[in-house]
Amino acid sequence: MEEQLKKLKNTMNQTVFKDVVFSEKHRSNILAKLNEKKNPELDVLQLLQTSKTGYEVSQALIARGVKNFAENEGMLYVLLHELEGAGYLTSTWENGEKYYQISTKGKKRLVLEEEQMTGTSLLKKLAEGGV
Amino acid sequence: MNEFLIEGSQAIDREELLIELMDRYGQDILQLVYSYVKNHAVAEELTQEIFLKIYERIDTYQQRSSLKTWIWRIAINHCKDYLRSWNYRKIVISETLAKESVTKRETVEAEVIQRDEEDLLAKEVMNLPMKYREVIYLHYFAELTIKEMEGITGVNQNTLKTRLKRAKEILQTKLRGRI
Repeated sequence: MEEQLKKLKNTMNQTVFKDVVFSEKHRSNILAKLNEKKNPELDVLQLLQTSKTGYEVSQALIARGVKNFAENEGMLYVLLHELEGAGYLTSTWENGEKYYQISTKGKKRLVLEEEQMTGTSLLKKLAEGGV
Repeated sequence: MNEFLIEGSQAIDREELLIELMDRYGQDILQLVYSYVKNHAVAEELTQEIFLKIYERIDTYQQRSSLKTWIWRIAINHCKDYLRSWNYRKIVISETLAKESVTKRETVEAEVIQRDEEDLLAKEVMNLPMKYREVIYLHYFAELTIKEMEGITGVNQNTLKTRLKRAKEILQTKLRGRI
């Protein structure tokens, strides 16, 4: 029995697990799900480190692969309005267009969130292929 | 365009890490999950949820255990939660392994007897009750030590040893005279 069990890895790979393969498809499905779930606020705050109109923000988000507003641009304006109301953004009018930019309060929040994102040195090590 | 890439670089770190972890552990985790749920579609679904969970919790990883142990623990707990869930209990899984093995055996009938015996062992391992299947899988397939298994399952070493012994007895009985 012990002898057979020692070969179990090989045995199972050829039988039970023959069709159990983690493929590129699984990988990209997971990444797609991730993007759906991701909170776009952080992206908006990052983008508005230089002032932009709502339209420019929407284009920049698409360029980043953030698809939350791709089919509902109105929701982006709601978010911008909320962030402004909460004091994270300031806005100015130029030539009849509204430009948004991150405020000091917004910058503080951004730093905090980015620290959480990239956080520990472990994450960096892992990202660089260490550990 | 360049500006967007530079501004975005910090935000994607965690995502890069997830990709790295999927490359490294994707196959292991999918097989591990399959050994618990014995259904392809469910295994894929749960594996997806597990990696999203890992992504969400990665900054809570404390290096008290190895990264592999941490990831496997999340995966195993997720599988057990699923098996306990209302969803699973209500919908009886139809894709039984026995059925798969039968068709497989039909197609490879011509292969040497040795292969047949191996098929049988693999099938009986998959037919073990979960707590016995778990120890056999972790010890012989994943090649973990009893100590590592304790870290991953939270079950103490003596219990694990007893279960391993019992699992082997069950397999022996099932396969008596056939291997």
